[in-house]
Amino acid sequence: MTSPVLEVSRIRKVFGGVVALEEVSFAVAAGEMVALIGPNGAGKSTCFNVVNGQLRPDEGHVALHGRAITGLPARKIWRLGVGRTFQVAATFASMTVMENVQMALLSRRRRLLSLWPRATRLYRGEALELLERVGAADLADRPCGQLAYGDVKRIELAIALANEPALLLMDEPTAGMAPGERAELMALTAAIAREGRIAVLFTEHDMDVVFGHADRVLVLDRGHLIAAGEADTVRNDPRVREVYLGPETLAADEAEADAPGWAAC
Amino acid sequence: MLSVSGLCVFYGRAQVLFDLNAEVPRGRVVALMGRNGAGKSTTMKAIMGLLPVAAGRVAFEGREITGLDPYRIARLGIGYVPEDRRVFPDMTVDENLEVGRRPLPEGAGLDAPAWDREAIYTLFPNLRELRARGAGQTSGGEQQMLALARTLMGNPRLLLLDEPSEGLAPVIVQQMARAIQRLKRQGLTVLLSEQNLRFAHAVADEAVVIEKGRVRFAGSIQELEADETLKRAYLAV
Amino acid sequence: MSLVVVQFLTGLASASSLFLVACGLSIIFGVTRIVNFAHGSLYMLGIYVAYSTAERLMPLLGGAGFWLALPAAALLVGLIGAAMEVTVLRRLYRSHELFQLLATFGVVLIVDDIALAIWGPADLLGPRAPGFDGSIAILGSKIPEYDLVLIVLGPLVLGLLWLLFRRTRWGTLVRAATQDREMAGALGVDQKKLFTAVVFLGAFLAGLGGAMQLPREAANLGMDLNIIAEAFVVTVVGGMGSIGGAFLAALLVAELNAFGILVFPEISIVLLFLVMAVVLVLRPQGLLGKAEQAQHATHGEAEPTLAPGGRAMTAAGLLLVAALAALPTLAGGYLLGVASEILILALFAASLQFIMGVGGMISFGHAAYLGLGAYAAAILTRELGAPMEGALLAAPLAGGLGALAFGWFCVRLSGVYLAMLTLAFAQIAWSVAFQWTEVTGGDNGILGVWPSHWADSAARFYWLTLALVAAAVALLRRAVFAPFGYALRAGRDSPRRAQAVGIAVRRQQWLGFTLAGVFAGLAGGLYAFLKGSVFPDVMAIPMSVDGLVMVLLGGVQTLAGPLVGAAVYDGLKAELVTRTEFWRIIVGCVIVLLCVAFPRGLVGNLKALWQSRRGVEG
Repeated sequence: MTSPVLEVSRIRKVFGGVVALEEVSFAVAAGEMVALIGPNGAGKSTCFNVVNGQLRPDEGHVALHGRAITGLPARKIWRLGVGRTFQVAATFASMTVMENVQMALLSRRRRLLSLWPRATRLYRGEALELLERVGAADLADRPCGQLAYGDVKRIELAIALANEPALLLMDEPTAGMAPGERAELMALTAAIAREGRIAVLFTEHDMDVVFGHADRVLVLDRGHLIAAGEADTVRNDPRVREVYLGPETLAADEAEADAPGWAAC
Repeated sequence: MLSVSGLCVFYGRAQVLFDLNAEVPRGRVVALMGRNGAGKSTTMKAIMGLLPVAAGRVAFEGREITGLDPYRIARLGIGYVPEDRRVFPDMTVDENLEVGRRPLPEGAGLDAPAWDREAIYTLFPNLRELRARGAGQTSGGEQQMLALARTLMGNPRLLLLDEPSEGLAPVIVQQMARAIQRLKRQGLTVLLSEQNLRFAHAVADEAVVIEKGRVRFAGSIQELEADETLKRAYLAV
Repeated sequence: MSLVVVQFLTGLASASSLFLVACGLSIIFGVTRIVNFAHGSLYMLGIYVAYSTAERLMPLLGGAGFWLALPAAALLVGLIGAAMEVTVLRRLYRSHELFQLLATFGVVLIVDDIALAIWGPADLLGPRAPGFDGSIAILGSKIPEYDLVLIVLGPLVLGLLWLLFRRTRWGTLVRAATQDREMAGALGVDQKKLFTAVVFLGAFLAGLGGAMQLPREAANLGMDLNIIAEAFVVTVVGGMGSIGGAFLAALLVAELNAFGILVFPEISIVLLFLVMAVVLVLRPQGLLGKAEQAQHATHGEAEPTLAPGGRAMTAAGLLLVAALAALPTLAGGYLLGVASEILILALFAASLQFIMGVGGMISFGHAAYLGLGAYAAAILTRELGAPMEGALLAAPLAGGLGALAFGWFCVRLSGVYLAMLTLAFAQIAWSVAFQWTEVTGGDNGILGVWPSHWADSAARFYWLTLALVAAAVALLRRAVFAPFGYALRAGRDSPRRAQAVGIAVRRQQWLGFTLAGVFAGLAGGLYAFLKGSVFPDVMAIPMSVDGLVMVLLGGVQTLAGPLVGAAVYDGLKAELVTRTEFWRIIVGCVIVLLCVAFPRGLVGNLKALWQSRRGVEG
């Protein structure tokens, strides 16, 4: 196996005396989809934000293709080949779908300071190709601010791909989507990742998405990585079941209803 | 107890709810279901007076409340827990509860218990431990609990719970379900919005399914559970 | 040594009133999210009302009359503030911050003229404080006794406010509404009452701050804008919404003023600027402020997409320029002067629209760059004997350099904070022009700035203006649709997404701000030669607001808007000023009305009408 695209080693992060992350290490290889899960407050967002550069870890480091990216600003990390999608999809609402993708391409070619050419005439073909890859070519001329949410998510993916990233970071990619749409988006992502040998790291709450699409699953609890491995292994790990997944059914709990229900969280 | 008829709501020029009808009988838990963007949260906000109603009416205990300011609706006995919890982050847990505190309205039925801090801390023991902590420093699950507790402090007779399970870890979701079941046993009427049929099934008696702002189904949760076509069409399970 | 003590205590005394005003501003902002531009006007009303009340009560009650007049004045100002909340602010809670600032500035103009009508233009010196009219010796230097009253008042009010907000249910509800007013409403808190009460409290504090100044300084009509600029600096430095921060910052600012006068009497304000700059670089959220959290889902519509006008539009533009070029064949000198002024202001407004509409940065101090251009041109021609051509090259350079320097700080903030900072910078530029008499001539300005011989007729200067303005506006439009403008717009639409595709948002904004400064500077250079003179007024707050009103009149998101806005506004104002002394109140009412009723502006509203018509037909 070739060297990993993303390598996170022994990260530690403390917020005002509270340890958010401790000794967290993992790697993601090209073409691999890895899910990062855990209960609320387990350190998922912190971990994600350390990887994407928003937070600087107190100890440890993050490397992309062996090159340290710890604490670099988001825009530099993008230039090194990291594409991102957000929990609440972020696009440029005052531009058309096509212009959104062109914007990313203009940035990639470092044309942002040019004052004369018409931006809409640059890199149209390339932008259209990217839209085709996510199946959104027919939306090219629609204003992005008026799209349905599911479509915005796909556009975001196209924007993230504009820099031919080696690594794709997706923060709760399916949050706010209907279950059917969720599977669709993740299948699309998986296909693109495999085809382009892109490493994908995503956080997620929807266990159907996690176990349906992740090659490997990482589980965080109170800042520690408590499990890592293939979906089935993780699903049956007793510790994971205890802190996160819980017993399978919701309805059969009348008997224990009088136990202090909230105490564990 | 709550009756919504012919409700139409717009966001700007786009119509989001079309002639929506729904009933919430006293003492029942009704799940408002549908995909994202179907209009669930919009319905909740419109009932609460947080969004302008273009047409139709909302009646609570036989009294029309359409167009009233949210604070008046709250004082009539409707409690609202928003989908993103919205605790006051820079205030302590205790102060958050204080904001929600309302004395029982006059002539209030005996069907709802009078909540005070003690009762809240008995129901949610770990809020007591956190009482002096800033609400912004608590975890997502704790915030969800606080948001519910804060609303209960207003002694509502009807509870509007917007997406109580969204974004929470499975363990917390189960605890949330248990809390709703308990409140129901205490006589509270609940309207909750939900995408997750499993969760709705665990807590609700009845379901109203909406799609693109229109009602597609209204009936018992068991009927919905049994109807594969309906589920596939509007819930995308 | 004794001088240091005296200055220190004077600073402490001045800090009290400043703190009262700034914390009132902060409290109102906290709950209503409106930066009340008219807060300085409430302060000014405080001292005027205290003057009139003391004048009536003192003959009846003697010394007690004076001490009664101060809280009575504060109370009355509080009620005026509450009335303002009910009539104006309440209609603006859901509006864009630009309209909130502008509408409250409209109130400034209205109050200005009302004060002028009631109290007249002359300074009014109040009585000395009975019982505290002497001075006492501290470490061998004399300190006015009244200063000691003020020194005690500040911490006293701070303590009372702390108790109010931390120990009462009302205070808890106010803090809840500060953090999430919609949610507080959904929990049964009557927002309307709460908001009115909060604005009453804030206005009361401003009125008290003004009234307390009665024995210290003469009431005058310029007090409103002077104090508001300082109060903005205090709130930005202290941290918006933090009462403790306002107290600290007021102390800091007042002490700086007190000692600055000893060290750099001419340009003491520069010290203030330096401190503000240092604080903002180290702590952009202010000394005790909280970092801005992501705003709650705004209910505003997404900004519209922009598309170049196409050939028809270009043709129409060329036709317009051609028609304008023919104007000298029809019009005489006076009219050509007005037309030149309108063109220059159109360029000024267009440059402002570039950073506001495209860049999403609201500047309340854009006149600074107009003024820098004007002064650069004037100083070069008068002092160094440079020709007009050279001066007109230097003007955009000066505007651009000023914007480069100030912009570096401004782009670190956003929204209303940025607006306040731009205003503070402009006020600093104005103060320098006003105080640095050797170079700028101070209040007397620089006279005799005439164009070169070849452009000295009204018609020729008009043609020169037209050519430069047309070229500059065309360039600006080109930039909007070039990658530069797109990247700027990307940063406005979604800073997070822009960063994530490698756009250095701050740098892009900084350069956009600078580019706008260049064009404003060019407009300033032309303005100096048109008028033949330059006065500090060219960079005063009203000039900045004029630019905003022009942009607003035309429509913020409409590229042709500023041009139409400049023509309409400047034309009307020129008419008004010749007809009545009380033109401010009319302009003020128009601004308030515009903000409340037509936020999309003239062109914006016409466009919307046109689109909805076409929509209906199609």
